[in-house]
Amino acid sequence: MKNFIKSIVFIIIFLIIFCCVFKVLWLGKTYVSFLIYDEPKNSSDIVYIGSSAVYTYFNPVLAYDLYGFTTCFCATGSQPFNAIKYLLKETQKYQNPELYIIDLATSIEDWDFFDEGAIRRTTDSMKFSKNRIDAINEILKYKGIDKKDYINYYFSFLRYHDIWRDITKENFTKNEYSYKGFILSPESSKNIYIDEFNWKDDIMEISAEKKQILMELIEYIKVNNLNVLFTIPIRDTNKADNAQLNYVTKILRENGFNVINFNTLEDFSVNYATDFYNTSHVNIYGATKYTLYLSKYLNDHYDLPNHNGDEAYNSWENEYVRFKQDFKALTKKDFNKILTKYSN
Amino acid sequence: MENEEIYERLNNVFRDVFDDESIVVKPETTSKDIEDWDSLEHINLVVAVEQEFGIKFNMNEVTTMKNVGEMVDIIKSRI
Amino acid sequence: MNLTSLVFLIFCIMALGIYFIVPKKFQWFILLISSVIFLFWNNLSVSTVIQALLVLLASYIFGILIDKYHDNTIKSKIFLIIGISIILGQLICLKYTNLFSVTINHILKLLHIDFQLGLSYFNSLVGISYYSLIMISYLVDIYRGACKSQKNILKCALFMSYFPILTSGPFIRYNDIEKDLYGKHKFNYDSMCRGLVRTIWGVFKVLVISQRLGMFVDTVYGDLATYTGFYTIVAALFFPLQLYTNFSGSIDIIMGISEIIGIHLPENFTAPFFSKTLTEFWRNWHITLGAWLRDYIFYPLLKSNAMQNLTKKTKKIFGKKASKKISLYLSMLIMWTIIGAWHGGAYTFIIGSGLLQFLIMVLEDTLEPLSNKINNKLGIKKEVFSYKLYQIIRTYLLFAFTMIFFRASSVGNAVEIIKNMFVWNPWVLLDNTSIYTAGLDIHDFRVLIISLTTLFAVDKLSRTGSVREKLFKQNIIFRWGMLYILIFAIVILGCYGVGYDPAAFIYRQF
Repeated sequence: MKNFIKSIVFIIIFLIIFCCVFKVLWLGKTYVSFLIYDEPKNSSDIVYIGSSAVYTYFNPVLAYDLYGFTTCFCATGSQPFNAIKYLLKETQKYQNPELYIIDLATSIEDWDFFDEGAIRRTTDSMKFSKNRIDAINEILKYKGIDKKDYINYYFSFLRYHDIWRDITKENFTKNEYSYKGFILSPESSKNIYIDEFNWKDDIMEISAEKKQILMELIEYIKVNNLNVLFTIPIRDTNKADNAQLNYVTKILRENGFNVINFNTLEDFSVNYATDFYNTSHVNIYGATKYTLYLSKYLNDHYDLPNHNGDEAYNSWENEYVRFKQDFKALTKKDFNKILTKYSN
Repeated sequence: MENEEIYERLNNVFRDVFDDESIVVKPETTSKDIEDWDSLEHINLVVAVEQEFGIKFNMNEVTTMKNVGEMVDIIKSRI
Repeated sequence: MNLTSLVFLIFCIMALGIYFIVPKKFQWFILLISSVIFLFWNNLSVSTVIQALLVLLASYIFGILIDKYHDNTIKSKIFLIIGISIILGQLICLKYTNLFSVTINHILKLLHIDFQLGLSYFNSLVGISYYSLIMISYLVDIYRGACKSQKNILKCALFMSYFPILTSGPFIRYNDIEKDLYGKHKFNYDSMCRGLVRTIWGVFKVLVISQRLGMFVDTVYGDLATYTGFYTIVAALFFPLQLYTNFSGSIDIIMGISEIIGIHLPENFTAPFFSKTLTEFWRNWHITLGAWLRDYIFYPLLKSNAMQNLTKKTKKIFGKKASKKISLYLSMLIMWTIIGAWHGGAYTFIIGSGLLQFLIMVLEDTLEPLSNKINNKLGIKKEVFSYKLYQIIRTYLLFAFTMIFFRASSVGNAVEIIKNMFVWNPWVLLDNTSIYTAGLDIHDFRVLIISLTTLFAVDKLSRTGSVREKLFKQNIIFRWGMLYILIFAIVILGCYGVGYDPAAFIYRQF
């Protein structure tokens, strides 16, 4: 009996050390804003899923300050579109938001766009569960990865144990999100020349594969009776992509969903010279405009609570204060003045 | 044949095979006790003993005999 | 099945788990089933089943016959010869037909005959080189009266296919293992701990050291145009270590598992790189192979009438001492050619692990009196540390040289590699950059230094008694601490899974 206990204790200590080791040997949180586990259970009013278009465009702490609702990000750079179904499922285990917002930026991308980094940013952020395994299976199947490599995705440590060569201070400092996952980019890329958007009415059908992924997502949402809004970010793009996005929009609207295409809104505009970080992402100025518009829209069209003043949501207020401080430190400007300017 | 005579003749064989006049073998003597007695010389020794006493060791005995005492036992059983 | 693979781990856990749960009289049967699964894993076909049955039936039937006619020397000898011929025949057909074809093709080329034999590749079972020789030794042992034949064909099959042995040996003798193999084993916690420690040590040697060294050696030998001079020298020096840690590590894994089961196997390595001569080296390296050849080829050869007659004839011409040497060297030549060929059906193996070993050992033997004379004249002492160090280094270098042939893809390739070593580029070792561009970066070299030092220390310590026993005498915190360090060294530093390549994670546009 004593021996049996010794063995169990040995194994338990091993597992503890194992978890500690792999908290350090990890990819880190670059291009990842995945907060559904970090936020207190069931505290999110909105969950925003998608690619980098989510956490570089929408400022959740600003939205909170304006209207008092919380937005939880579940977004990673170049997120494979067919992961979204699984992320919805994952979110439902930890949060029960009023509304889901899904970013459509990657809905039209081909499979060679999603490299290993893109896949792992999503799958490695998910907690170990059957849902994660299902997500890996589907994504890798579409990607055409050899079945015997799947195990490197199920058990990420098989890949990351090698990171010991490149350990830096960052691996040890606890990775906490700033501003609830929003990325503050104060620079504007002045050399961007973005064409005027004039593909409002072009439609191009997407491939059968992408269509199937879309339809499966639609079905999942309907079966689970989820309240979903779709967004398409404003950015420099091309005719083919936009035509396909228009097609996706058409399908979604036919299925009764609301889709906001920020490229085609009449009452929304950005300054292409000053508001972009690069051709596919806005900077803080563009993001502020985007957030002002979207948060007002959400407040007007959806029944969202207002937690302003509630002590349980202190972290949101604190993060907003920190955001303004960091903004001032980086740009020497007062964020409130920017807000006032854009609100008019 | 008496033990004494066997050991006397065995001494001669050992001294001849290993070129060392000072060798005196006892029942406990093993290959570790004689410097050149390795697996290579073992066969030469065995063949020399066979020739001296007019007997034949079988391969099993050649590979398993552990000391001179065992060798002598086999010699005695064959004569 | 790869010994360090997940599949093998799961296989062992299941096999051992079932082994200790079933009623003890069925334990050997569970071992048999596990062994058959292992034998035919990923390799089940009509031809492989026939191969296995051929050896099994030949061993089983002729074993019984030799035993039955024990008193009739002629009959038992005939059965022995037939049995051995069948086993040897299948081994040669499956392993060496290409060698014959390649040789004949060379001869045809030399004679300018415009015809070449085709090469075929036979699918042989894992362990064929081991179980073939083991079953031959089984038949010979029965003939010599060292053991009795196994009357139960399933038990005989277990002896032939006992799974820990199939990948890397060691060579077992029926007599030594009979009791343990078919016996009843109660689960013993201490045995499990000791066995696990040995297995983990083996995995460490394979995944942390051997695979890592292999990355360097493969890179350098794989691109002879780019990597020359000191790159090649370092690779040649690394390879024996790579081979050693791979082979002895595999043996450790095997021995550890067998120890958990309760079946004791003979040792194959006893810190061979501390040997002072190549002759001594081969007493400490792949010990059971040497023992097999000694007992079943070398001794019978030396003792044979043919050899004895030769000795007598040459004694008349060259004198007693020389005649003994002639017979000895001739027998050694035959033995080492066989050892070389056993390693593989290609000339690189016959030369590298056969003829060159023979040559060096003959030189050691013939030059010994001369070197003693020189040492005496120059006042060089042999019993001091510095001389022993010189001997150890010399032995290692000689072995490393022979291994160039062993590792090369062909004799021509080996010659190319040797030529490559004569390029003068010492800056490669000194400029703090170049050496880190041949498959291993600076971190890998650091890991190698630490792990090789650990290996060296453990091996040196092992010469004064079992390191495991010393470890188990310590207190629990130290024991567990050492184990955790070892395990996590494997988990973090091991060369397994997919290597981390930052390039794969570069964030593109979105």
